[in-house]
Amino acid sequence: MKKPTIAQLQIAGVTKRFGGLTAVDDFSLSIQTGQLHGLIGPNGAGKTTCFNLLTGVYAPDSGSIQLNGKRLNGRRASAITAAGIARTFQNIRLFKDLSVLDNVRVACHLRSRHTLLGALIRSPMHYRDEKQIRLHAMHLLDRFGLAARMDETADNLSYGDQRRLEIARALATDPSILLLDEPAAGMNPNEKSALKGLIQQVLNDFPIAILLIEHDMNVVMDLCQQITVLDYGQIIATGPPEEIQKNEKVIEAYLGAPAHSVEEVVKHDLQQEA
Amino acid sequence: MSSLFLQSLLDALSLGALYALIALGYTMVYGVLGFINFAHSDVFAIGAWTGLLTAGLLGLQVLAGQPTIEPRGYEIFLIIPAAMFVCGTMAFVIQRLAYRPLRGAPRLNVLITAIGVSLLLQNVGQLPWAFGTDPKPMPRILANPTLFEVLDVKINLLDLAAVIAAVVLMACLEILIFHTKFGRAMRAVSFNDKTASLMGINVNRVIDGTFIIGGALAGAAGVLYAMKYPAVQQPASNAWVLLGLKAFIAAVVGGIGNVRGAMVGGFLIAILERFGAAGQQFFPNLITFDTNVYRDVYCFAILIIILLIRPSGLFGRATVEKV
Amino acid sequence: MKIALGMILPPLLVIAIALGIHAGVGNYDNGYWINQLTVIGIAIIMAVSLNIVNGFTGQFSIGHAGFLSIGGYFAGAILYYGSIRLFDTPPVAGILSFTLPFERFSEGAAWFTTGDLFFIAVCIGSGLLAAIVGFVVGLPSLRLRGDYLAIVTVGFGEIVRVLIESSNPVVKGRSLSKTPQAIRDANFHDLATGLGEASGFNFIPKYGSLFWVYLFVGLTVLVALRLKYSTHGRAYLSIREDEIAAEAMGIRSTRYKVQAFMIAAFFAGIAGALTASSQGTIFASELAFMKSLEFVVIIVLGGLGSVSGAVIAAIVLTYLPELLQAETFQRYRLIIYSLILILVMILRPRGLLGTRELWDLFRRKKGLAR
Repeated sequence: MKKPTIAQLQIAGVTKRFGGLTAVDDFSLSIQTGQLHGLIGPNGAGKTTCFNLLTGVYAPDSGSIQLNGKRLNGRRASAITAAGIARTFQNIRLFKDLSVLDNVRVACHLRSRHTLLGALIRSPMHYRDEKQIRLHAMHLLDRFGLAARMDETADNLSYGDQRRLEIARALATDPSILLLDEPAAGMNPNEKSALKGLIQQVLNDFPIAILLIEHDMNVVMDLCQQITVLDYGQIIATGPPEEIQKNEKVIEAYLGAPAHSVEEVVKHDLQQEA
Repeated sequence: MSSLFLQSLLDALSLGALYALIALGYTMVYGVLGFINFAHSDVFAIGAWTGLLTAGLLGLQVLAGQPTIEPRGYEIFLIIPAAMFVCGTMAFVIQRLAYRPLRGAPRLNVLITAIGVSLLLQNVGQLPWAFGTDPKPMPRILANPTLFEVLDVKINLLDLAAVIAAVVLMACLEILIFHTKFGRAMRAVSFNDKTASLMGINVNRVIDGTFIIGGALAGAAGVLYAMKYPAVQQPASNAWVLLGLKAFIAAVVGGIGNVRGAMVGGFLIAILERFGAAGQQFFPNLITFDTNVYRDVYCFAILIIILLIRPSGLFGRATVEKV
Repeated sequence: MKIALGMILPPLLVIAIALGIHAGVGNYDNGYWINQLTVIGIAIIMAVSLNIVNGFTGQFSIGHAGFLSIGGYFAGAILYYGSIRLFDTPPVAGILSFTLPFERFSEGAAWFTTGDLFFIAVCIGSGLLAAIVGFVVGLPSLRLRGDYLAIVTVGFGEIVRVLIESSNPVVKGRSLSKTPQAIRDANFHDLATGLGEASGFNFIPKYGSLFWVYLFVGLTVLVALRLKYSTHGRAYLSIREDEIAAEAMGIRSTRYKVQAFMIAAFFAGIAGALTASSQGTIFASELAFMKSLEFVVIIVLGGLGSVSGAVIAAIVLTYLPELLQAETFQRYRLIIYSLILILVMILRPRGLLGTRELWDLFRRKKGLAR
């Protein structure tokens, strides 16, 4: 299966409700190879839920998710990954007790062609696949500066290394769309600037598009060509960084409504109740 | 036919009351700590044995070749509390020594530890200076007059004693959980123990309390069970394991972690078991095989069906893992 | 060349070891050791196969003895009834199967006969039947996690036991000589339900020998190790570590979970066939919940996910009580077991070896180490 050189992810009108709460409301977005799109918003705005919808952790209630015209919503997570969308997790979900190398090798799983029986009788195909997977994994680890630590247990890595390993692992699935969920969280300024360089490099070296959730505005504003802002599950703005920085709605969402004294708020609430 | 129905129903009710009492212990521990307390079935086996020993202390004993001693009426009010006390203490000690060191460990570890505790209790119980390896007859600890007769079925006091005792205990539990401060703390811990401790609830005390209550209920159930089936099996007998499993199934069917669910589940499982066992008598023309043989299979079958259709049980809430 | 060696050498080694044990210990006058080694071998098969589900894949099955029952009763029925119906009398086995006096070999006893072929077919059949049942039991694991699944597997084990215990007596004639005729006259239904009630299935022809037991021990260990160090095995491990992340890496967790169940059940079924044919009897009441727990204890002590740990623990825990035959120890045996189980869980939560293998201890910082 050869991937088209330009991949396109199209999300149209995706909505997800949890009970009475509409976590994501009418979310639309389009992104293609070579683009780096930021997804920002205050805590609880629905960013991660968007990722979960895109990667099949949840199924959307309505709307459509299409990759190169192929409809993906409702498919299970593994099928979506196989179709070409990979992700990292906000709260790092490495395979903690496996080695760094094995973490990446697990993600190379889709590359192997031999059957279970092939693995059990150790067919030539098995050796070929294993060799190729190992090479590919080593190549990725090398690129992310983790090759020296490949035999280490993932749990033993520093926080920054764990975040990078997550990205390497996601890339090992050969995605055309990469979703990064707060990759800079918990990093110090040095690590953050290194991460920025790394993400930029990944975008240049691999034929992929990146969708990035990040709270650090420096990272987002420097890297992204386009930014979408979510608040209470709804898109309140989309545009290039300069525009977003000036957008009043965005400022309001982040800083709260300006110039309301406590009395005003209480009065407003009382009026609402009455 | 109708007397058969009545007889089965009566059996089901008294058995269901026992299942419910035991299921409560499982469901409360699961609600608070999130694991199956495999040792629970051994705690109520010990309850039955405590009942037997206390009865002996009170002069009620079955001795070969001698006439049975008739109870004087007050014994049961000493025996059941004694069993409740012993089993409550037992559960408390188990939780302190085995489960507390594992707080926060993977569930598999806690589960295996629980199995270890269960094996330990069974095998210590089998030692000659404990209860030994032979079943012992349970003396009668309550007079058994016929209360009334409906459709040729004699309804004796003992048939109803278990139901009455169980219902009284469950009512107490209901009040404790939904109308006291401790109960509120317990519900808070089962919802989210970390947040509960931030709100000033002493989580350890709540967990201790939960085990004590669960153990005490199991102790009472053990005595009631021994009254109903007066041959008290040795502590490692399969009978206890099976009884424990059925009670656990009752808890799962009702929705584990849900106290009212456990009560309903207990009666449901018992009804299914009794009527399933009597199936051939009900429909002698339709069913040609001996349904009584398979009485232990029904509840496992219903468990698997319920779990596949409604994994969170009849009254349980579905939980979504946060990603 | 290297590939060919990696492919063929280990199976040859397995056969050589099995032959060696059979030749070294399998002589008929060695009854005690044959018996001990058979019991140990079967415990190894059970522990290593259960480890594929519990240790590799992180599911929690505590009804593994149920598969052993299924395999054992199937093998018992086919070996006993089937041999008479198909061959008129159980076909003679070769030197590999029968615990013959070895002198017979020089007298020209055959290595491999129809009897052996029949036996091996029954073994594989038992495994396949158990695997099919394993598929059905594995299905709930798609929807259930952790302890719920544990209860389903317990339920499964109990159902198997109750069903077997409620079967009819074994078909027999009034006298020993009339038995074959009685079996020939019986209809299929009588034979299929004549599994010996609660008193066990006796009279099973004893084809099992140390050679077959250790051949399958070797195969089980080989399969487990080859799984562990392959793409497929890594998929199992990743499911154990984090099922959601594994799915996000493109691993079809449902498929692999059921696969793990089926592989484990397959070998447990074979272990059942070996039990039945080595001891000449199989007894469902002994294969209840407690028996399943014994295998859980073994793999927990050895280390969940460690093949060599499971093998070592199986040998130690099966043979230790024999070694310490003393009356007092017998009495305290299970108490000590359970105390060890609790202490290991509290002090070494991943078992003695964890996911590591014995040889990982000598190669520092390597592989799947914790």
